[in-house]
Amino acid sequence: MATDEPQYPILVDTDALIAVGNSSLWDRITENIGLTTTNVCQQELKRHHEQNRSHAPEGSRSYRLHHGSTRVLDALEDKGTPLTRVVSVPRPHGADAGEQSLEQHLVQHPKAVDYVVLMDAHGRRSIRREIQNRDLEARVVPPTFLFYILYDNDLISRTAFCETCAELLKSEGWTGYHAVDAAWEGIPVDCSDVIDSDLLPPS
Amino acid sequence: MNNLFGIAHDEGYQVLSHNYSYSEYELSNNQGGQKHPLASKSFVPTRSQLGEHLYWQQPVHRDMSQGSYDDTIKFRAGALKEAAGELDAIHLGGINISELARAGLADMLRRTMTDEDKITLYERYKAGEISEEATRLLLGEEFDLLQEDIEEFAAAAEDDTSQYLV
Repeated sequence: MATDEPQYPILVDTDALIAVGNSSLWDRITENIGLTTTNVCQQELKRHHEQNRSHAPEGSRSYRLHHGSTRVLDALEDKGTPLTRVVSVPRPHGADAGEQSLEQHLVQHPKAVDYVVLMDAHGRRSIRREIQNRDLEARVVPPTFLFYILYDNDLISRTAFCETCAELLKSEGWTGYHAVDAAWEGIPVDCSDVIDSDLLPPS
Repeated sequence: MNNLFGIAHDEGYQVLSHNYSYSEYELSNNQGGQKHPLASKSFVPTRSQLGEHLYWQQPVHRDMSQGSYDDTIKFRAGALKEAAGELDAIHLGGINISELARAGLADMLRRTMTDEDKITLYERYKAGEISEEATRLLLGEEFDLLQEDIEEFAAAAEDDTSQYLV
């Protein structure tokens, strides 16, 4: 491993970093939680940064990809921020290279990883299967878990937790709903008094 | 008949104790609107060459719109009817038009859904307004993915997360 940076037991993929990077809790997360990603995800972040315009309409997917990746790349460059990267050897290629690089790191260093944070539900299942097959102990969770760590340690209020979940609901469609619902039902936490009713469809 | 009744009665209560709900609508539907006196215990009278029997009927969540296998959908088929009939005639062993229609409609329903539809559907499922069967039919694998994530999150919520703070 060609890095002298510390490795943290929470591995995060490109899309999860972008989703969290766009949230209003990003600064709290980078101040308080140690996170690690891979050079492959960093490369994906750079590609998103370059291929999406900074002046894209606010709230558009292109805007989120550009600004989210910018915030994450800045944090990766800042040695004082507990967001580090490891180098994947061999380097995975293809559309799922980022996810594969996390899985590879987990398999190579099973004792160093407690959580893998992924935005894509199918990706989470795929890594979970690998964990089961290899009899490993890491958990695979959606990015709302990072908001939960802050909430669980009284670093943010329930209101702030719920409001940040609502941001994800707004911006990420069904994928965001999936990540948020898993948190709300899994913890469980009731955000019904905080969430604007027009964010959720009428029942 | 009494023996049959007794056995079926016990089975009926075992199942009922597992939170199944019984629907009168389903039975009255099967009997042309005339409710059998034992309808409240989920039995339907039937006749066979051995005489009259009472059969325990699988309870259904009728209040959540869950249809029985025998429910039908009618639609204007146009040339589809001739096409399906022709293929049935010329295909070796014939084709199961109903099965193909069920699979095809299920597939197209899933493809028609937007993200917003999925969210509305799942919210209605959580509120008990749509059956799990219909929700699974529409969400497919994504229903199971969500349940997996809920379980994983619940397990993670038991962990001591303070060790991840810097």
